[in-house]
Amino acid sequence: MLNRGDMGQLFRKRANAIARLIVIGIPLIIIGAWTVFYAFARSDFWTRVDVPVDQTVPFSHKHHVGGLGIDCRYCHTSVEQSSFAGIPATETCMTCHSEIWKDAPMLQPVRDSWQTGRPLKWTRVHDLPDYTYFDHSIHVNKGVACATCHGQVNEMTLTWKTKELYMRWCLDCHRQPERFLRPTTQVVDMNYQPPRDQLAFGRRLLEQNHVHTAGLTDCYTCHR
Amino acid sequence: MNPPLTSHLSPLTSHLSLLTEFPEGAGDWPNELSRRRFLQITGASIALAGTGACTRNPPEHIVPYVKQPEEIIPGKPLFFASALTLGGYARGVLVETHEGRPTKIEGNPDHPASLGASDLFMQAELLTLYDPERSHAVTNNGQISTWEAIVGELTSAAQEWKTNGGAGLRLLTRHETSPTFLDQARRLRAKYPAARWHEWEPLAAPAPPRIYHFEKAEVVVSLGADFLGSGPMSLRYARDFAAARRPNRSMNRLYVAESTPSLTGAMADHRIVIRPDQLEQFARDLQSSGGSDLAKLISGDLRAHAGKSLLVAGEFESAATYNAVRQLNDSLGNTGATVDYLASANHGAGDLRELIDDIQSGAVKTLSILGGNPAYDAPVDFGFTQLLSKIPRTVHFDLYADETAQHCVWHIPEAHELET
Repeated sequence: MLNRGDMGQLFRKRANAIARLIVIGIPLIIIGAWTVFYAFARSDFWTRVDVPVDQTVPFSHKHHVGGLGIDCRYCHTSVEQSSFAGIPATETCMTCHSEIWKDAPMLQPVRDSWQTGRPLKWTRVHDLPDYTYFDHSIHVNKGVACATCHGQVNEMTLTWKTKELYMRWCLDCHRQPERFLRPTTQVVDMNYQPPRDQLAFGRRLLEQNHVHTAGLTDCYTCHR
Repeated sequence: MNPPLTSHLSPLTSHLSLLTEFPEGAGDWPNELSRRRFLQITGASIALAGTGACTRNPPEHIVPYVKQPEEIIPGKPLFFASALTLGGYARGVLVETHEGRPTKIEGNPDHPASLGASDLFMQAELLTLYDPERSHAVTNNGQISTWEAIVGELTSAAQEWKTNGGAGLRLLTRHETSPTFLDQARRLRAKYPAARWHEWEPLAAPAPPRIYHFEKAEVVVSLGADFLGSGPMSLRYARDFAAARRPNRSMNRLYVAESTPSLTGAMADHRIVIRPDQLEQFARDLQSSGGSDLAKLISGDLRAHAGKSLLVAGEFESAATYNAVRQLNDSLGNTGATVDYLASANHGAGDLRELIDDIQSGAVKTLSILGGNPAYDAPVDFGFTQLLSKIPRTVHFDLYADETAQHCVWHIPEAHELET
């Protein structure tokens, strides 16, 4: 037989407060950590959106595209035929730069490459995860413009990405492509203004370009 | 103690990527590491492996061409019609390449020997192409040498050959049917009349070349021949054979007498298991319509389909079997209908026996071995390996620095068929 006097309180009184604190505090900490992680993962610091990428040659799209008006496909030759848009061979640079700016120190790596036969090494700006399949040609041929994903490249002094390339962003368009489509003749236009009735116009383009929206959000469309 | 994993690689064939994958001593168990400690470290490594996802991807590089080649679209495969040889015979293939690198081989539908099909030898050529153990450098007595050195050596030898007509110069090749090679050999011997060319093909058929027409044969008897599964023509023969095997129209009948299980035996309507030494007698029984009941039955069937039957002898059967088969095909009227015997195309190449005699008499001063590994696969009683040391100048030209290369003064790495 036990009575109260034999055995003291197991927990002191303030243990109640601690218990309440734990019950409320642990979820708070979890939610807090999740929020911080989430915000960090979407920050430009982490996604490198709007952060210029250093290159061996400080190539300016602003000068070549915005200033001189060179078509995207002059250098990115395979964009209409292949999954890979193509990075120009040194030869392409030298078509002009054997004549103009031929002594510019900035272009020394290009001239070295041309003379030694060693290729230039560019750092990839848009690096999709290896478990996604992306094909430039199908997008360009169905009216997804360069600028829709790559932003106003004609204003970039160095090159950076303007979208974080998360899956959510891909799906935004794959669920409703009519919001972004252009006539296929306008895909390389950097100064294109969408019409006011974009949704109705986009739906017509879907039909015209035979875009089959049914399979666009299937897993295996991008994860093959 | 286990030898280090890299010890089986000679300094020549060891490759940087292999060394980083299997660093020196990686296969040795360190003495101071207990089992318990090993499991602790392994466990921690697995736990920490997950944190690898917490970093940003390392920057990737794009390395474009200096001069963009024509036809190549980066990211798109480019197909080439080419030919790969088996036992000296070319079969047409289509090779898929990505940015200039072959990735897949299929048969060429327009080529009569492949008809779009491919076999394991074609597929394996891709693995050979990228094999890191292929030889990488010219060697002189096992030491790495230069291309200039071997060219210099042969140029000075050529001065000698010009005066003596190529006396002492010998070529040893595998069985060659390439028109380009035959022309080169012809021009070489026109320039150096005293030079000799020998062929050694370890798995060559001793019989003259022949072409079967299985699509015209209603009864086929194979004596140890695996015509569906091996040999350079098997892809074509399998297709022809299947064409005459349509269950609801005309279906051929296949008898196979063999001592080794083969694909053809598995396809047979009647498979006769026979000892190798009895095959010759079996062929004679078919000829005389005698012997066992089975032999009588088959020869009866053959005679009932005279001119529409076909007897095939295996690649490695005796000359007597071959002769019996040839005579049977002739007497049944199959020759010209279901089989064509071709005249042996002799391009002037001697055999290995003649070369051995010449080496023994000291007539050979320079031996160029173009492909093949005779030190390994020549009959051992020829003593080829020992005889190689009697020749002052031996040059081995092959994909691998193999046994023959070790016994030759010079070794030159060969380009793979897909690289030429």
